[in-house]
Amino acid sequence: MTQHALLADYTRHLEMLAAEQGLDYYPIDFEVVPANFMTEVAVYGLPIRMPHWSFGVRYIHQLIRQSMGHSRIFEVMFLGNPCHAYLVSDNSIAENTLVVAHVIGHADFAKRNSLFERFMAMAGGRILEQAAERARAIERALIEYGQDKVEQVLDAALALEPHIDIHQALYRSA
Amino acid sequence: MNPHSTVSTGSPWYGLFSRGARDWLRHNQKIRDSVQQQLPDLVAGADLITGSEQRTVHLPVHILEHARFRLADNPIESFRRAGQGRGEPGDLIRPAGQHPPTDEPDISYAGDQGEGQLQLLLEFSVDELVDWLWETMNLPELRPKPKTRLAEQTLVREGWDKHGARARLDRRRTIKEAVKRRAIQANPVAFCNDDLRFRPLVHRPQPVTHAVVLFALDVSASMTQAERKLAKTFFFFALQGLRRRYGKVETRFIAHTTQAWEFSESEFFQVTGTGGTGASSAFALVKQLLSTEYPAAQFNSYLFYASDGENFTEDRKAATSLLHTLTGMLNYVGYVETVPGASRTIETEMSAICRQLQQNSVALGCCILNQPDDVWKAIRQFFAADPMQTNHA
Repeated sequence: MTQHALLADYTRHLEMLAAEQGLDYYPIDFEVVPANFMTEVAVYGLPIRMPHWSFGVRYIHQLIRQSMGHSRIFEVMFLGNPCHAYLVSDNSIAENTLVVAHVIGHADFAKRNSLFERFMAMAGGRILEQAAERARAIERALIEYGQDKVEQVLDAALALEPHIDIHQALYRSA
Repeated sequence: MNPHSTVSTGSPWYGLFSRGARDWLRHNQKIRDSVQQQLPDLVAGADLITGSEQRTVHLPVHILEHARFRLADNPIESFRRAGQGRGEPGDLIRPAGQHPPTDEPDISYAGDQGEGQLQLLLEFSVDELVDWLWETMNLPELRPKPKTRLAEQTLVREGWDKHGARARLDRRRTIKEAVKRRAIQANPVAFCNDDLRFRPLVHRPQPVTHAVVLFALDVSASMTQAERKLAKTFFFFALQGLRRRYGKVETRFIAHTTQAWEFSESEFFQVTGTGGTGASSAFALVKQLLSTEYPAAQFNSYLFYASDGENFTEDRKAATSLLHTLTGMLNYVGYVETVPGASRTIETEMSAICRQLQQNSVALGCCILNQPDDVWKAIRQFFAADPMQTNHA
């Protein structure tokens, strides 16, 4: 049995165990990806995101920490319906099985979380796809207006990011 | 009731993604750009000019971070705007780019950085920094005078020989020869004289690539610190540019008031003279140096002269005729007039002399520096125009 089929088999078993324990969660799409892609997903915070120099800084930090043995990425998970979770192809089957079980726990917690529930109601379950579309819009803007102008807007937007009031509605009028 | 999770392998292209590397390069590009803008300040250090090319400049650079809002350094001042009722679009809370006054807030600044701001200590070689600048300028090369392309004899390693001095033995090749011979002989000896291979030295002509750059600076009382800094910055970049064109560049430093003296580089910029200005004294010294130590047949020579433009009227005739003689001996003469601050409207004594000479089509350039940025303008003006064409025109 290939590693991949083995992992799929274990996942099925884990789901049965989860059902026995009464866990309640949206289905999870697991993807087994190469390590460098995983690093990017972890650093960018989304599988597809706009290009920005600040991610480059974090990327190098992460790369250095990994190469010095101070950091190792096991899982990146995105909540939604379905949830998305990334596993590293280089990790052993035992490690990845453990991660699958762990992620199922996350998924159960998220579905019962009121903050998550509120945002699911406002944004829908396919946040990753929406985010990817925004990223593509920024890529188009880069081509149309040039790097300097787009970067100026993004720099300003990222400065405002920590000041967003998450208790208000997702879409607000100005 | 049981959700059906799936396991899949990602797209085969994932391994090719390199977004992180792309954005890291962009970050570095931004840092380099800002370093490039600061460059005139970097060369303010004392003896950058004649230092070896291997020297490096350590530049503490902050890793770029997201812009963020922070509390004002001086709350009393900024209270005026913030928190006074509803704001209107377009209200200015605090003008951007306002740095804390230079005296003591610097200390608290330094404390700030100690507390965990990341600093990158970038190491640039002086060479590299100047390389960037000259690259971006796309300057045509300053060509040496055709008559100075004297064939100079140099020794180069060339070819192989079975006989030669023991010191020139090529051991690797000798052993190869021995191995080849042993392979085909029945009872071979380890080495014999036939195996020996030497790399002889032969004389080959090489075009002269020596250059001498003479820097002359007016150190009379009217030259203040600001004027000197401008001159120094200009000298530095001119020298670095010429170093890129010639294999060996010698530098001489001359300071003058009504007399002229030669100085070492470190002393050169510290010198302060009193009294008036007689540029002819410096030109006479340059002429003397050129005729005694730097024969025109072997050296490409350049003179760069910086002054605030003032010169004794009585000295005018002497200065003009000496400068005219010099333009015949030198590849190029560059004159920079350092006038920090506002540009002057009246033509100074020195620029009058230069303009008069330029009308005679000699290889002489003249430029006025008001601020550090003008240094590049001057260099562009001096080096972009081909002085050879001016000479023959």
